Amino acid sequence: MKVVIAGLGTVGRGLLKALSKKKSELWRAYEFSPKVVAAVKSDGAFLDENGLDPASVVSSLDGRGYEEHSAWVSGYTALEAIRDLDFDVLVEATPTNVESGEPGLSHILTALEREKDIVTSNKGPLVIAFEKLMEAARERGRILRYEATVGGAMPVFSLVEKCLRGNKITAIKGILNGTTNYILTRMTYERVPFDIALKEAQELGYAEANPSFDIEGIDAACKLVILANAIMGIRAKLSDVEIVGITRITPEAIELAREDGYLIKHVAQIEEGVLEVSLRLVDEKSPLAVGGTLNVVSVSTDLAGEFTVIGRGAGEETVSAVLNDLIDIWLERRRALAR
Amino acid sequence: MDVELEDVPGQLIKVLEPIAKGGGNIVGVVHHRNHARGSLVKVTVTFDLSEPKRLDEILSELRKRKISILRMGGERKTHAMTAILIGHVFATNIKDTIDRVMATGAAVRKVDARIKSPEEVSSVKLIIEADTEEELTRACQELKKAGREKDLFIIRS
Ligand SMILES: NC(=O)c1ccc[n+]([C@@H]2O[C@H](COP(=O)([O-])OP(=O)(O)OC[C@H]3O[C@@H](n4cnc5c(N)ncnc54)[C@H](OP(=O)(O)O)[C@@H]3O)[C@@H](O)[C@H]2O)c1
Repeated sequence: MKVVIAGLGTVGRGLLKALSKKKSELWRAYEFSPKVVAAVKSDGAFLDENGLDPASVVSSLDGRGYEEHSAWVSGYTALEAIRDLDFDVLVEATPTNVESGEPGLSHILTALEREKDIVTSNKGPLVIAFEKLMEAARERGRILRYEATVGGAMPVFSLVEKCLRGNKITAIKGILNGTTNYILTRMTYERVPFDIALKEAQELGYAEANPSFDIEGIDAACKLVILANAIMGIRAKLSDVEIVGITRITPEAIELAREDGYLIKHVAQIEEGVLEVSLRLVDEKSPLAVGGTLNVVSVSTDLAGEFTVIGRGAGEETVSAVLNDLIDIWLERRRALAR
Repeated sequence: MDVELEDVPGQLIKVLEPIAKGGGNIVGVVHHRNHARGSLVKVTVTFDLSEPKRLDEILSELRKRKISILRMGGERKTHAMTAILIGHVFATNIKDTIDRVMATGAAVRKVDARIKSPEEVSSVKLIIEADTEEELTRACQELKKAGREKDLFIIRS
């Protein structure tokens, strides 16, 4: 299986690392030995039609002077790779843009036109054009997987699709942004004021320099849109989500809540077709009461009742979800070939 | 407990007697004239029972007296919600805010405030109780509406 990776940040680079580190396990367990024919970033690409050595790409990126790497082609773009190279799967891990979906949207659409399978960790394209992308994939018999887009490493879509067949998903409730959960946790247990907790989150690399995407609740709302479309069949857009950020919280409110056994959490929920992201009082014994940067999703179903997944919503752990999607596609294609 | 009674004098005693005889301590009686059905009116009778076993005795006596029981609740109000209001809660007339919630039929059981200084926002916790889920939803909607008008930030359970 030949792979193009677009985006070599935490996710793209992390995937290269995992492929190098797990080379023999992946072969032993699944006879999976992917060849990365292109690894593209914003200013150029590493190219090798016979498959790059992932470890050497990672070390040249970690050190300085990746331009010296023998496979580096300056100025070569992801779109060129997707249009011109011989490959099977695109891993889309470029930055999220929820206004245009670009560059990810064009990457994915072009790859689908060329009948390639897709793994994306970038939620932008799905938030902008979920139905269009699914339709394009279906028409061409392609697989489009996106486990990493919601809840990072933790399995949500795979779990629902593979382990809850026949269930109807009736409601979803969760904490889908690690940055805001970190801030609220610090405010609750260490009595740190909001702006200090935010600064900490930025220094620890959880929050962007411009944190509004997280603290205004937009990131969580995007994930809610994907959940609604993917597992509840609700054709919601970002503008359908009632979004309230966390900036107006006070330490006194946190105190008042705790006196009655509640925590204040930034909860994303879909109930009776209504999508909402807001601060809520959550019983401290509830499964949603997770601390730090953890994410959590509670899913209500008609047959299985309610179940909850807790896990790492961001960071290099996200690679786990991307790798699983990739292996899934490999196994599915191999099964199809055997038929 | 909700019962339905003829809206004429002398009816209420028919309900209260068996409760008292059965060891019940009557805490409150509310007539819901807005829930009237012809000459029948809904009445909520709230009572404590130190020996819960005697409830059957009370109920069978009420049935003998042909009192129609609409609902039995284990607690006074069965649905509760906590809401924390952040903003200029007092300057925007907290009494009006609470009255508007109570007008939906719900009760505001507790108010707890943290005030730093008149210039800064205050944080105020309300515990709201209602008889039904619908009543609680209405109370919540009314609170949200008042919050929007008064620029209060609301965090609810
Ligand atoms: N990190 C996480 O925890 C996490 C979790 C879930 C989902 N995601 C999503 O996964 C995606 C990647 O995340 P990340 O954390 O790896 O991002 P990142 O660290 O910011 O890296 C983004 C990468 O994309 C490259 N890039 C930018 N524009 C490009 C273009 N037009 N063509 C090709 N490459 C381009 C950048 O190139 P340069 O190196 O040249 O700047 C960089 O290598 C994002 O959409 C993110 O929202 C991330």
